[in-house]
Amino acid sequence: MSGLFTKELRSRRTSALAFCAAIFGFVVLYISIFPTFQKQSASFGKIFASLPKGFSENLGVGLNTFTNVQNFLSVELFAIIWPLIAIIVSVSTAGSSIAGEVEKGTMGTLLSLPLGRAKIFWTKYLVGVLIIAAFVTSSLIAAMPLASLLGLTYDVSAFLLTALMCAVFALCVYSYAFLLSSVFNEKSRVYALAGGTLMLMYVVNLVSSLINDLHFLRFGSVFYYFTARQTLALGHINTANLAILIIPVIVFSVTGYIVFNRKDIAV
Amino acid sequence: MDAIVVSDVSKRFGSNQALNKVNLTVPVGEIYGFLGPNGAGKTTTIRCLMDFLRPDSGNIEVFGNNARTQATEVKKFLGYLPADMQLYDKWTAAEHIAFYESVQGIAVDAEKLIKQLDLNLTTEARHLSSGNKQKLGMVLAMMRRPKLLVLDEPTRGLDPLLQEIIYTLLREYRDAGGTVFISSHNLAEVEKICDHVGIIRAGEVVASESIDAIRQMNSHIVTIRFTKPFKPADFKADNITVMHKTDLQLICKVKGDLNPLLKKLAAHPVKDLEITHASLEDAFMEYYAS
Repeated sequence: MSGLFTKELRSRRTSALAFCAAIFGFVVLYISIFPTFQKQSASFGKIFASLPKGFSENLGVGLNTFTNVQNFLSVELFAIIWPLIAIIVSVSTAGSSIAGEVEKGTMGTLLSLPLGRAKIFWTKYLVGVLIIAAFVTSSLIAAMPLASLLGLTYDVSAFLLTALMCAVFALCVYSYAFLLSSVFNEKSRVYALAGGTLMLMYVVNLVSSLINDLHFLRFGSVFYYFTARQTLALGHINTANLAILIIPVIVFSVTGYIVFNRKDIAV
Repeated sequence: MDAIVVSDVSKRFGSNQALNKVNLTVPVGEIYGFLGPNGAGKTTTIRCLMDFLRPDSGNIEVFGNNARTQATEVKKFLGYLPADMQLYDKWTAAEHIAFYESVQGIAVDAEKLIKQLDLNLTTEARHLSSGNKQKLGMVLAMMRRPKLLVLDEPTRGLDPLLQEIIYTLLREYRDAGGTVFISSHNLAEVEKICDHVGIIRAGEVVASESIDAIRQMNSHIVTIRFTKPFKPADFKADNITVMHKTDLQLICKVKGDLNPLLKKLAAHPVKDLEITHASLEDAFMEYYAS
C-alpha cells in the first residue's frame, strides 16, 4: 500500500504543485490589490446595482462587494477562476489515475503485482483527495495569513466553511471524473465527457437564473449547489447544498470502484 | 498439485469467441510452451490467468488458488512479463526495481539478474531500447524468485545473443524448481527450451503434450535413395504422404506406424535410408492443417 501510495504521490507531484502555486498566486494577487479597490467601493457598488438582477446574482456582485476582503475574494476568485482551476485539477487527476494508466499500458504493471484492484482504486482515489485538500489549502487557508500580513480583518469561520464547501465541490467533480476514468480506457474521453457535462451544467445554471420559466433546471446543475461565494461573503454555509454535493461524491466513487473491479482490462 | 490448471475457460469479445472451453494443465517444475499464431488466444488466456480479463465461464487455478477470487494471493508467487512491456517513462530501471520491492518485498535475485543481463540501471525508461526494456521486464519478473513465471513472448524482437541468455536463465530457473508458462509463436524457441507444449487454434487448445510425445505421436520424415528407378505407386498407403520424388529418391511423411513402409521397402533395392522425427513445426502445421 505504501509503495503504491508513494508512487502515486510522486507521479502527480509536479502537476499538483503547479496547480497549488497557480491558485496561491491568484490569492496573493487579489489580496494585495484589495485595499486599492476598497477605497473606491462606493462607486463600484453603484455600477453593480445597475446590472440586471440575474446577471449580478451570477457574478455575485452588489453594493457590498468591496467592503471587505471576503466579499472581494468571493467575487474575484470564486466567480470563475477558482471553480475553473479546481475543475481542471480534479478532472486531470482523475483522468490520468485510471484511464491514463490503462491507456499507457502501465496498469498491467500494477495489476501484475499483489495489490488487488480495491487497493489500486482507493489508493489512487485517496491521492486525488489529498491533492484537492492541498489545492483548497493553498487558496482558502493560505488566504488568512496573507490577509493578516496586510492588516486586513477577516472572519476565520467564513474561510473555513468556504474551504469545506470548496473541497466538497471539487470532490464531487473529481468523483464524477474518477467514475468516467474507471469506465473509459482513454483519458481524452474522460476529459471530453467530464468537461462537456460541467460546461453544460454551467450554462444551464446561468440560463435558468436569467429566465424565470427555466428556474427549475438549475436544480440539475452542480453549480447551483456550489455556494462558496455566499459562504465566504456571509460566513454561513448552506448545509442542504453541502449534503446534496456529498451524495454524488459517495455514489460516483463507489460506482467507480464497482466498475473498475468488474471490468476487463486488456493491458 | 499442478502449477496451473485451466478448466473450460471461455471468453467472448462481442461476436468474437476468443477462447472456447480452453483446458490445459501446466506441471510443476517444467517449462510449458503455449503455441499459436497471432489471434489464436494465447494472450487472452494469459490475461485471464493474470485476472486482467474475467472469463465468461470456466475456472483457472494457480497452485490450487483461484486466479480470480484469490488473485492477490496468486500474484505473491508469480512473476509476469507481458508481450509489450510498458514502463513508467521517467523512471530508471533502479526506480522500477525499487517500486516493485516496495510492493512485494526484497528482491533476492535482483543483483544477480542485473549482472547476468548487463542491465543499465540509470537510464530513464523512455530512453531504453526495446531489448533493454525486455531485460528490465525479465529482471522485474524473476528477481524475487517466484514459484511461477508467466511470460508472453519474452524474446520477441531480441537479438540471438540476448535470446540465448534468456533461455539459459529460464533453464536455470526450471532446474531450481521453478515453473514457466511461456507463450510464443517461435517454434524453434519452444522446441529448444520447453518440456511441454500446448497448441491453441481459434480459441481452442488442440494439443497439450510433452514435447517428445508431440513429435512421436505425429510423423517421421523418411528419405529413401534407390539404386534404380522405382514406382511411386508401390508406396501408396493411407499414412504415407509423398513430399518430393525423383527417379532415384523419395521423401515422404509417414504418420504413425513405420512398419508398413519398411515392409514395402524390403522389395526394393535401397542405397540409403534416413528417418527423422518430424519437427515441432511439422507437428504444429499438421494441427493447423487439420
